[in-house]
Amino acid sequence: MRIGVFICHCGTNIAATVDSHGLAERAAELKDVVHTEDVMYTCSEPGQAGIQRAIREKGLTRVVVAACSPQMHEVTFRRCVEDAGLNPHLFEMANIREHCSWIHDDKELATEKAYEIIKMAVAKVRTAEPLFPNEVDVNKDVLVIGGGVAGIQVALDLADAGLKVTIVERETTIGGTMARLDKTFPTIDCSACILTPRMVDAAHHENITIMAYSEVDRVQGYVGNFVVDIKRKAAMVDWNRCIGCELCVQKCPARGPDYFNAGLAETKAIYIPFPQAVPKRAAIQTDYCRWFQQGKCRVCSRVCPANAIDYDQQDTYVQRKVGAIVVATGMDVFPWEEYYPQYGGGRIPDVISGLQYERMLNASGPTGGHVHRISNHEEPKTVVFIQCVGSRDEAVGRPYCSSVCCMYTAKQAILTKSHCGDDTDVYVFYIDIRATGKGYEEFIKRAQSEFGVNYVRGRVSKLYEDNGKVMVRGMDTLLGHQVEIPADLVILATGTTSAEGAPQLAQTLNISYDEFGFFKESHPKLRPVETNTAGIFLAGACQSPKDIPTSVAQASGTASKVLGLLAKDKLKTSPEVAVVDQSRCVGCWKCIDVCPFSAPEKQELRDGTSRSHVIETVCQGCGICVATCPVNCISLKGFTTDSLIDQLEEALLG
Amino acid sequence: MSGAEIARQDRIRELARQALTEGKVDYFIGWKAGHVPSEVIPAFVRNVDECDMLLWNPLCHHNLTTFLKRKMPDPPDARIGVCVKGCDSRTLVALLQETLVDKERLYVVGVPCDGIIDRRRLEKAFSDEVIDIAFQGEQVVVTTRGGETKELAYEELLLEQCASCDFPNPRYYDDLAGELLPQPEGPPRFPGLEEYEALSAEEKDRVLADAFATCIRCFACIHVCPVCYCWDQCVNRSRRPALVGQKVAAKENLMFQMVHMFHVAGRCPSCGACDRSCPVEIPLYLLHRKMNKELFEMLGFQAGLNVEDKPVFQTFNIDDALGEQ
Repeated sequence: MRIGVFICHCGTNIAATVDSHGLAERAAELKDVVHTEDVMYTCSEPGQAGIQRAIREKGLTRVVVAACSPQMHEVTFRRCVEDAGLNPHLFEMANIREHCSWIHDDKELATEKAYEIIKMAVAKVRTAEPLFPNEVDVNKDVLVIGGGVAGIQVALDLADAGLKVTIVERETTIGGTMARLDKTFPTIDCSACILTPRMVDAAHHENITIMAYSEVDRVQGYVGNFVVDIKRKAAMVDWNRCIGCELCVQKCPARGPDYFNAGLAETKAIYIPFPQAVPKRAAIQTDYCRWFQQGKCRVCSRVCPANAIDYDQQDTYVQRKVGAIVVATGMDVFPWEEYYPQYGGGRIPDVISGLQYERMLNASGPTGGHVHRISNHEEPKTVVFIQCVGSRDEAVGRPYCSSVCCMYTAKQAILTKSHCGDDTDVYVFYIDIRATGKGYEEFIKRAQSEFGVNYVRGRVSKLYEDNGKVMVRGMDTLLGHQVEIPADLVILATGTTSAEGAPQLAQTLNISYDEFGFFKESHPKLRPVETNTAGIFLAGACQSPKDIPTSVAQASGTASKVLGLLAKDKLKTSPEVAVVDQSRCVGCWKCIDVCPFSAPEKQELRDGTSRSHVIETVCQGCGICVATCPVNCISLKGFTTDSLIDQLEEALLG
Repeated sequence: MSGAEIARQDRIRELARQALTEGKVDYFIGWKAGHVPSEVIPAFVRNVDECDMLLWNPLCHHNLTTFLKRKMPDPPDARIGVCVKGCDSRTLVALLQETLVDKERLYVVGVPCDGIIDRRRLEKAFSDEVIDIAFQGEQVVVTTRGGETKELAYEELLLEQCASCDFPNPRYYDDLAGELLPQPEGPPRFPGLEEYEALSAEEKDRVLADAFATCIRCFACIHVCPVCYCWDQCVNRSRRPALVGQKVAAKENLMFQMVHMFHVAGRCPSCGACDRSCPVEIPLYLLHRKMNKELFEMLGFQAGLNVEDKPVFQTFNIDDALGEQ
């Protein structure tokens, strides 16, 4: 066995705290090591050429590179040794940068630690065996979870490129948050006017199937070959018959809460969220329906001309096989009522959220686009906006900026002037104005100078009712004195939060999420739309708060990544998979139970007994079965128990 | 012996006889008198006329389900009858959960149990050899070779775990020998740990090191354990992977027992067979009972309660992960 060890300086990244040159001399003493070298940048072209030269000239049979994290360059060096004729799995990386030089100051101690890390890598590579990849077929269909503007964009881009796409949407219509908005900044064009054509495009596209009122129940499989169970929730209406005529909605005598209008109005127990809904199909909120609650009524079934009402409908499950999954589940509005008692906690009627105001401004909203006070239906003369409610506020556990509120507040302030007249007093309380997008700063300036919106820098400490007004008490920090404004209507720029159920979905999909429920990208700069689970991608506000242009741009980016993946007919699978020593297997089938990919199977031997067998192309090498096997008869190629023990022994005893 | 105990013994014999006569089983595993009066040993009954040697009394401590491990190999298609107490039934359930015994080839006689007496404690109470033990109601009458006869209270001789037994009735059986006992109420109890738990980390290390220093690696504990079933391939005795050093010394001994504990976690109901089998009286319950307590407190899990349940390390509940947040 002839091992070569290459120790990187990484400029000063490593060499500043670790004596790379000294390590090269010491590593030469290790058993089986025949060549050591310290290199300024091992990943550079000359660095890699040096490794290949040493393999050829010194006849190296194993290579260790002590440098950065394998996350960065393992692939680089595997390719490098493979090009020089070595099996890529006879290479091992020792991380002396992230695990050592970057986190220590004491050069002597850090060098000692780096030496131990290198010793461990040498110990591991000694028992390494050549491994060879397999290939699997790729399913080219795609599942998009969430039918908001991001999900629609991804689906349209992919469908235009010829892929079959299924959109799963948990509401009865696609459209997401954007469908609930009145106008969009900074152009003040009608939100529905730009979104609904795209919704219709999606509905009519031959390559897109929309599954509304459905949820992802279970995901099995792996990149290129996912199997997804989708729950189709019972709408109590046969959607194959329903024609969306809304006769049932008109005649329904029972009322329920209106999610679409953000609770600003009530809907009927049988409802269609908005006129341009896609698909335009009715559904019954059984919690509020008289037939389901009291066993009387059945008005909808009598008036329905299509005979579509089906009170006995049950949830059904369908299965889809796809090669990639895009998560575009969007966002929700911060539930400010629970967190801001100083703003009345929802008990002052004339204090409403930004989304409620959006619905009020909308011509198809509950007030028909007429702005009025909730308490007495009069047109307001003084309107106050309060920014950063549920954003940038550590007191309510939301330190992040919601990124859209500055802009939508400016938009709503301008719309207030146009709805209620120029003589309406409009105030905006803000901390900072964040207007970094194209044309955004100009838009804020227009609100201030052209429309005369008063921007007051400071937080509002309290809202209270007095003499029919909402008293807004706050600080003008630029003037340095307290202000109190008697307002007719107060609109809170409520921040964004992750969509309800996001952590549960992340667990179902096996992707990471942060403490706020936003899904985590694989790398913020280099892999911004991928997740750490191969084949699952992100788009839109489910990753972090985003406005419409950013969501759509990211969605197209995501679509291109999915196309890149699915352009291949076969995927090479990693040879680092589990393998069963059948002579020791007792057949407890725990491996089958715990495997997230259904890789182990029962295999009958000639003597009639059954043992576990791992299907190589299905195994993703996660190692759960290895840890679970009670008789320790499964091992992971490339990470055998023995090689890990060798590493430990080297660290602890060597 | 109380009337109930005698009734249980009669019923065991009757059920065994019936099973053998009807050909329901090839052999029947129960308990019989041992070589000394304070000892009861496992009995393998193959003929109907041997059934009368089967007995039941508070000395029947053996967990007979240990003879079923490795998929009831003896012979491969044998139909087996077996007696289980409450605690024994839980190891059987654990094996059934893992499909490591074949339900179809099994005939289980459940024995409601008032508690097993601690034979070691009893023998230590006398300087002389015990030559006779009789059970009279609530009293245990002990006679020694020297002719001394003493009446001891049954309650006071119970094993620590039996004194606070949560499952006096079998959790799984085909037929019952005797009436079911009242099921104790309240959360599960894990006796004998208070003193240990109150120690500092260093003191715990010392207590364990002291306890395991005397281990002679006879492997009786893992032999007798019904849910420790990779005996032929035990990592504790293999060179590859070299998880455990073979040196007989406190540290290696503790490592060996730790491996055993982690391997049976989720299957071990603390039946105490390992404790009773240890010739040097190592308090193995400190590991196993403590582990079961942790499992209950962390995951609400108790091993071997229902055949339909999944073993704890085979399940993943999304709430477990969300709860960490």
